[in-house]
Amino acid sequence: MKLKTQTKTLAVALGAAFALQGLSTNALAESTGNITNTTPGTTAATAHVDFVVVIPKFLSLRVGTGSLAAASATIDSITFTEVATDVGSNNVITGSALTVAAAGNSSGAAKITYTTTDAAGAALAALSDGTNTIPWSTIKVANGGVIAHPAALANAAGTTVATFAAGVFNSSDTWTYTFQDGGTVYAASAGTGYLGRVAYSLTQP
Amino acid sequence: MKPTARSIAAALVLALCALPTPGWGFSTVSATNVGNVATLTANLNFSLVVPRFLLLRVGSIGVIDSISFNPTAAQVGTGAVIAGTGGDLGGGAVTVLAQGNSTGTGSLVYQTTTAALTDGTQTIAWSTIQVASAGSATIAHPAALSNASATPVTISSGLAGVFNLSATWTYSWSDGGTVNPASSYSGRVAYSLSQP
Repeated sequence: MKLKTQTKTLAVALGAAFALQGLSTNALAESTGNITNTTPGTTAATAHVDFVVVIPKFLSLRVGTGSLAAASATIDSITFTEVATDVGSNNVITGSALTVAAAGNSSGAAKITYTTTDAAGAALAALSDGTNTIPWSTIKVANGGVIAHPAALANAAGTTVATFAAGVFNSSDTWTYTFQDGGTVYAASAGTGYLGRVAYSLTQP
Repeated sequence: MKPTARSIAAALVLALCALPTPGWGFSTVSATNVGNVATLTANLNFSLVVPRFLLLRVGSIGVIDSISFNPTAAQVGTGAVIAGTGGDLGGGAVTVLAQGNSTGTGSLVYQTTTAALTDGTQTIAWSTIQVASAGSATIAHPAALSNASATPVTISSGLAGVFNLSATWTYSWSDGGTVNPASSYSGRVAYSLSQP
């Protein structure tokens, strides 16, 4: 009985003592982490956040319908219609104006080229109605001075249209297409007329 | 006189409590032993010292969070808002906790450690990073970061006395329609909470 009482007393004493020590430890626990505490004077705590922005390579060309970033499957069609009194007169036949926009963000120097083709993408030396032809050079192109275009089309296979300084570029302009027969009387076209397609391409190393 | 169990216990209590324990202590302990009856009395005084305390948490505890923005090629130059990845809450969001208990009026500021996000050569302005705040309006973050390498930018300057504020800051990014060079840009923002 006496031994039991002694043991109980010691246990209570030890418990009380360690409990008090434990209180002091808990009081310090929250002072860890992002804190500096200078005493006396101003206390200061700091924290940091790192940021990373990853910009992917990007290249966009718009000629006609579309936007800078969104791909468009629409191929604009420009029609020149001579009336009888225009034939052989070298009159300027109005076509259409197209919005042109080119942008890229790689490190090299970009350029726009063009190739003359038929509707299937095969090389085409001249506008054709299937039998007769009219040279591409009858189509003139005016620009607004930002993205230059040769003054007239030509039978082309990767002909350079415009170049851009190396690095980031984001330019837009308007190309206006007209037709002049140069005083030549061309054969009245069969079917839907003289047809041809110009494929523009933008590349940047 | 042979020591009793109770007197041994009393001595043990005195010995253990004599260990350095800031703010705690016993006042007196006395024991008398008359005949076969031992009487032990003890008194306990308490004093509690609350130290000056200041805590700032922005994101994970003990780790500097990294928040990334990864626009797709189709988003370049469009001004699209790009959600971040990372942060302790995910999606470019971080937990913010500011606590203090001194008597002065504290302030929370931030400072960018570089003039702009940079890949070492090219830069993107810090202002392309926007911040949405939820929670305590007292520590609402400015709507966008600024190129603040020269001087700290104040987030809150009225943190008086005891305060315990929490918020969530969510970071996003937009190029504002500018086509930036392809690369990986990085930078760090240092937040600082101070109270006199």
